[in-house]
Amino acid sequence: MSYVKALKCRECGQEYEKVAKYVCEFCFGPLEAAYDYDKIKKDISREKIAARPLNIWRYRELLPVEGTNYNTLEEGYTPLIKADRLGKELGLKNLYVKNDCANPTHSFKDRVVAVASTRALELGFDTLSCASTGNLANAVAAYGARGGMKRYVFIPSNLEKGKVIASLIYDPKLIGVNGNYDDVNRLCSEIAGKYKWAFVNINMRPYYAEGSKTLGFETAEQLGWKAPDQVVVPMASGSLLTKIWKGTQEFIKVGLIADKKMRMFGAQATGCSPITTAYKAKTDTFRPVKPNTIAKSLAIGNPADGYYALKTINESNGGAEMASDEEIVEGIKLLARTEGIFAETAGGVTVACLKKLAESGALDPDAVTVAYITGTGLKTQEAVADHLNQVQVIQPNLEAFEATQLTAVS
Amino acid sequence: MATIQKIVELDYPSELVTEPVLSNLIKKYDINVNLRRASITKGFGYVQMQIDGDEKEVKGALAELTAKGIDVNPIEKDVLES
Repeated sequence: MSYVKALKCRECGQEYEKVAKYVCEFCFGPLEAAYDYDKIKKDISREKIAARPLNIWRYRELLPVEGTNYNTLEEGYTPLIKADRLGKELGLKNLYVKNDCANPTHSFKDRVVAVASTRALELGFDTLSCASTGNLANAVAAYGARGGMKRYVFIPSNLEKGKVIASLIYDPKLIGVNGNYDDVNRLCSEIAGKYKWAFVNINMRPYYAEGSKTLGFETAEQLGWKAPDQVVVPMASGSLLTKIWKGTQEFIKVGLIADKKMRMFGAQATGCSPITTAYKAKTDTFRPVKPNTIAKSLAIGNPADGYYALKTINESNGGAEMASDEEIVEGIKLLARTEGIFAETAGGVTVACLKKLAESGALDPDAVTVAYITGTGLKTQEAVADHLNQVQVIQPNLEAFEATQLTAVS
Repeated sequence: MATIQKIVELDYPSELVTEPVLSNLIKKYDINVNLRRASITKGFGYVQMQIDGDEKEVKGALAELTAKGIDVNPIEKDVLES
């Protein structure tokens, strides 16, 4: 059974049936799932959740699907590790890293696509679609395969071959679109309007976005059923930050955790920072930007949820930072060196901004802090390839090894 | 030619804020325009609107806005994600 009452406009409150619809007919505001929290509060408990499998569906009452026939690859319940070495370098005494590289296709997109594809199947769609340069394409191709769906994935035609292998292996229809970033965006909006497909982040957006809440749920559960004091989240569309906040507030609302004022901090790349720029300028007005950063996974110049992310940051007394390409590379290396996690460029943005926020005093050094690492570095190796120590090649004898003096350094 | 409907957002550069862009557009193209949300100040203009008409007219009107230097985006904003 579902605890979702309706789709509801975030702006005017107009309610709609739970169909594939994403924008309010009256005010053009975005739609999102509205739940019966009183009923959920009666039915949900820590014990009930704890007895379920370790995946996102353990929080089923707070996800926007009707039944229990989940389209799943066991996504979610990824490690939350205490990051003492990184914390020591940054001066943060209670730092944790949520490692979402550990998902089935190695990014947090598995959470959102699992929810979107499950709902799409419930609504009778036979085709799953998206426009993507990487992680989302991988997830749609994989979860569509898992659900026995046809899959159409649109990519810029100049995307490197290496980046499409992880999608092509699942045998989707992969369409390379000639033109720039805006051309791909416009075409996909047009296609989504014409074809009756489940376009995960267009007509399925109200369901898709809810999958991100599970990062907030898991963090609270893994911390022993309490919310962190402050979190640092990478921002592309801004949806992830707003949904981690929403998930945590829902846990409070249904009585699973105690009320707490959690502070939300957003991280963007300097080359694509519309939300951070608006935050620093103390305005709620966004100007679309043309992305120019190595953090391709955060390169959304006109963020759909930017306004709401900014609102959440301000209401939670949080903040926002940005990191240059050089700082992003250093962030990736710092996380790998100190905690053994190889993050993609978005993770480099998060760590670099975490560092800046710690140095500036924006973050409380004693507070429980969580940084979100949303995808693996194995997909974006080119970002760091030229910034690493080189292999030392030697002849196969002991003298040659000792001549390198590698044993002199630890 | 088929009738189509588009929902778009317009981001105006500051130099166009004082120009009656939409008024001129409606005179030139056989379209209906329905504004739903707008924020216009000295420095910039932002409009969300629905535009209806024959496909050729709607596409011509949107292309003209783009040619004038207005950023025309679908209401769902950027959907090309990583």
